[in-house]
Amino acid sequence: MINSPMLRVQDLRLSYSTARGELPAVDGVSFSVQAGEALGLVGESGAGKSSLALTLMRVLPRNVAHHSGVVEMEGADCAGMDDETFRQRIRWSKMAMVFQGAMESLNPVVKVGEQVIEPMVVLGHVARKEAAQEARRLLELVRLPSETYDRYPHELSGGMKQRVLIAMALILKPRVLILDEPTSALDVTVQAQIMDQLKDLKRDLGLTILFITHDIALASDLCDTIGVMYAGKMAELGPAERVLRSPSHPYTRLLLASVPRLHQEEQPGFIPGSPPDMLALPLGCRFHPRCPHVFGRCRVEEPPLLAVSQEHHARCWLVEQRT
Amino acid sequence: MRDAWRVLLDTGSGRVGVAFLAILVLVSLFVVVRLPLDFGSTRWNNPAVWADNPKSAPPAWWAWFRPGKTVPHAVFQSSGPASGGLEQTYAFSYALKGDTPPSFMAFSLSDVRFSDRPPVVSMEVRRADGKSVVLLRQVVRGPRPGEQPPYVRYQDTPLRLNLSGENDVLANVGGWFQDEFGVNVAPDELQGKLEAAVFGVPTPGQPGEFQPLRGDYQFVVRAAMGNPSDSVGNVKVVMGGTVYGVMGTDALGRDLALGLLFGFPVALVIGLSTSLLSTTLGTFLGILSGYMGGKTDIAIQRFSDIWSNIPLLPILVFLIFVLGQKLWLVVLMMILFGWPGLAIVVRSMVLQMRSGQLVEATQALGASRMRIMFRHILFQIAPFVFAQMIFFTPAAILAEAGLSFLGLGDPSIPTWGQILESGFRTGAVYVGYWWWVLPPGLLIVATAMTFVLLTLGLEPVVNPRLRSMR
Amino acid sequence: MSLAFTLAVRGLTLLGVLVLVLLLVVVVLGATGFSDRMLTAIVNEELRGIREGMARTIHDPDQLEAAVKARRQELVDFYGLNKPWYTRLPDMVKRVVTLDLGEARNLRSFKGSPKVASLIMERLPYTVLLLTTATLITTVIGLVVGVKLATQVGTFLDRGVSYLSAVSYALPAWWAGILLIVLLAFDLHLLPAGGLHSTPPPQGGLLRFLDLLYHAILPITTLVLVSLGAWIYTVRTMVLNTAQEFFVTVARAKGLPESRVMRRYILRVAAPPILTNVVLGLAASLGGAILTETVFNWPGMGRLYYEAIMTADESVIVALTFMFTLLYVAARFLLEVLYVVLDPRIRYT
Repeated sequence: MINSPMLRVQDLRLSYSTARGELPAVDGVSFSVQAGEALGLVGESGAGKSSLALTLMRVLPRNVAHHSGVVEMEGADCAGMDDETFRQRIRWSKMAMVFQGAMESLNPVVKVGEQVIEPMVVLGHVARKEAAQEARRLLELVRLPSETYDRYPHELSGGMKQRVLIAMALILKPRVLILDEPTSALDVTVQAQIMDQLKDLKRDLGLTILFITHDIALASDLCDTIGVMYAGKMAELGPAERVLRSPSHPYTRLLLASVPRLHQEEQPGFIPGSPPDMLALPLGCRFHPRCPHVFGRCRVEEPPLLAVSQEHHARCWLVEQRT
Repeated sequence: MRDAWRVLLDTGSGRVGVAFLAILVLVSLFVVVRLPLDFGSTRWNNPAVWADNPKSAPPAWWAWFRPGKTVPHAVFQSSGPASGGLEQTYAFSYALKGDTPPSFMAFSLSDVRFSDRPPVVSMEVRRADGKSVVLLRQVVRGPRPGEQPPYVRYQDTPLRLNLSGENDVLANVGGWFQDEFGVNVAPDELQGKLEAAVFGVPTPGQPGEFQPLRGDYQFVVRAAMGNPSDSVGNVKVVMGGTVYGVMGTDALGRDLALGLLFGFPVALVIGLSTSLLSTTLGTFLGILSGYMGGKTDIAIQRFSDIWSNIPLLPILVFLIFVLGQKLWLVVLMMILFGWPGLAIVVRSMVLQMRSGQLVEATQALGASRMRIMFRHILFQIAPFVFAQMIFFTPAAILAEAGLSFLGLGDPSIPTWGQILESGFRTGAVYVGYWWWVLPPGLLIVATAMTFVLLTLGLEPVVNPRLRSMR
Repeated sequence: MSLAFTLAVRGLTLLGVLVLVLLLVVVVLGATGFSDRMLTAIVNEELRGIREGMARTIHDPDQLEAAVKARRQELVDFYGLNKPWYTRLPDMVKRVVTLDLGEARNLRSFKGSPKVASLIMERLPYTVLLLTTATLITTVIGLVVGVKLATQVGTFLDRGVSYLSAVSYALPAWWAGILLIVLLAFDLHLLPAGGLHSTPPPQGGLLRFLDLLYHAILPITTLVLVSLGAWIYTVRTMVLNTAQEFFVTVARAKGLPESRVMRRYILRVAAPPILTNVVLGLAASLGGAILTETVFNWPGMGRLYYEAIMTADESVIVALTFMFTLLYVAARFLLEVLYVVLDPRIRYT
């Protein structure tokens, strides 16, 4: 019997209001993640992945025009909660997020340690001394030197800042951890260290992870399930092994082909063209202008998520053709 | 630049700013064409020019708000006599419509020539009640010892008489009142009331007081010549009003409209030249400092740091006090003290860009250092620098106005600040001479506002984030 | 400690400013022959007194002249008039630094002393009273309104206040003061037109103090009106810019209540750039104070400056120029200290 998943998202939609009209960023995305598992969301920039994360955390920018959809944590409805309840009960305490460290995610005038213990002191009503202890423990866990607690963000390197963000996300012992491009601003060696760290945490703390990235190879390292997003919709979703070994959506295939391999002879491929303008979407399948396997129906009718196998789906007419 | 223009016209404040600026420029052009450049020293500061104007008079249109309480300023001039011969007459009509008599009566005579006996000039008025009184009888100054005919008088400087200052006039009028009305008014008592007397009748029961007599008055000036060849050039009679002109007059009778007009181009020149030159200097040094780095950078940085910390007004006061009150000095000082602020900001912008890819690419292409500096970096920071220039302009205008207000203005060039200063110093503020005190200030504010509005309008250029928030 | 080091550097820079201004003043005075004229005038003044005194004892005119001439030579030697001006420089600098500011030519302090130092010391508190009160009021109002506006960008209120701020920036303090006088003191007779106390001043400590406050209302209002606009706009813009930073979103994601986000992540971070703008406006406040005091006949240092200009009293002008710079530098330094405390990023390590 399948328990209710740790996180379930159904038909999530989000659009921004811009000078040119209402721009859809997330256009009907559904997935679920079991406890202790990691789902990787992969896609090019602009696919709507970060927006999705922000929607889940409900920290949307001012120019959001519309958002809807079901979000459930452990079977309990989150989307319908009012803001204050969500803030006190869910945000950070049940669901936390690690942001792209490249941007200034930390308050530049407050010491790092202060920022890490802040949720615990404010939300958890824990005394500062205990919170500080916990913070130092976490900083140690992510292998940062103990003086980091008293440093200011500008005194830390990119990799160190990223680790601080991880520690900060874990301070309230959340069940779900969302990571948005946590390594894209770091160089490869640091990236590898962070990924190792995450694998350890997943294993040791039993975290449920939503891992957002544009790098499918990176996702394959950590994730149990992989979802490939394109133009605001889920293009392919399934167990990591399946998606990686038998990608069913042409986009996934192209993504995988574009990953350079160490001893590969040929040039890595690339995907011609560019993602569509969300205000002027093509008729039919959103990917068809760039698809090497496009045929008649693709141009006219948008495919739904079709089952490749019980847990593996892809939004492509080719799937239907194959079965 | 074209982009900036478009942005400007896009915002409300930008549009208003541009409109105001257009007005400023147009008026300034008009003034430059119509008024002489040395207006300040030759006319504004020359009391003779304003002698016939009423002093501290509100504008003429003020009469509309105070019906009956004001009298318009009337000037009668004639260069040719109404009748010729040995007795030449000049006739003027004047109507008293309200209850206020003229504030003064002045008589001017110029360009008199005679060969033997000097002409005798007299002025008589036939009042609205039909009675006539001789006001003035003046003999032109006779030949001096050793002077040869033809004798010429009042050619460079006209003879000007303010009737209430002439004892003969007071005696004439006093005597006439005694004869006609049986009222005894002593000359010194009459001195303050001459106009009320001439244009009125004695108030019954109140000796020494007069009631206004409305109606038409005929003034006749007679010049009795000794010879047919004698001539009198210009005769001018002024019935002083209590209001004058478009903007009124100050304590010296100066037409404030002219003074205020002259201030337009002066303010624009002060503001724009200061901001243009200090911006140029600041940008140049900022780029130099940011791009060159090393010792140049440190030197310029330290220098601008210290220099920008010097408070402007006290130093300006001191320097002008010692070096003299000259406008070009003020502008020079403001430029010299104004550049460091911009240099510091430009330097940090250049530092950001220096590691940027554009500069690297240009360097890779082998462009010489100078070229890199100026063309590429300048191009990038141009919008910001331009906006800063607009923003600094009102500061210069306000600084000059403040300086003038303290009494350190350049006396040869009238500015709005100086007009205000003379008003303040003579206490115009405390007696409510609003026409003297409000317009110059309003103009200063409006001019400064123009540039602030332009800066506000240019804000999206400088801060692109705001552009998308409209 | 990096904090102390940073402060030391800033302090030195500001000291450099003082020295530079001092040198500037002294050199300009010397190079233009001004100090020569000043000293000559002083000498002549002293000689006049000496002559009068001598005339009582020496009755022979030739003898009198010779004696006066001898004294004159002594004085010239004493003041160093017979030497080029730059030899007097070090002495002058020393005197200014030790605040030995000499005597005024025409002006006198309230008690009649001609010493410039007492003149200035007398007037200083009044200026400080005006400036600090006005600054306090402006700061408080500006912070409240500016933050409010930043949360309502683009609305009618925001645009309206932006325009008003523009007007306030363009408004010369002294003209606003004049306007207020004409309006409130003359037309409506609500508030006094200037001066420190009514005539005659009320007796008793409390009444005197209240009377002082009564007279201070208009000058302070003028100063506030004029600086409020730019200040509100600065606060609004800085808060706006900071509120758009990513770490603010992160703070909200951390589940922190909005009040805390506003305090610690927006205001606290916006404080350094706001402070920078305060510093920039400091010089303007100084100028504004000078002019406002003049308009309202408020017996502070600014008014003294005006009187000194009107009566061409050089020693007072020189002394005041230096004093104003000193005040400015001191205020700058205070703000610098505050800035370094607030922003850890600029501390040298």
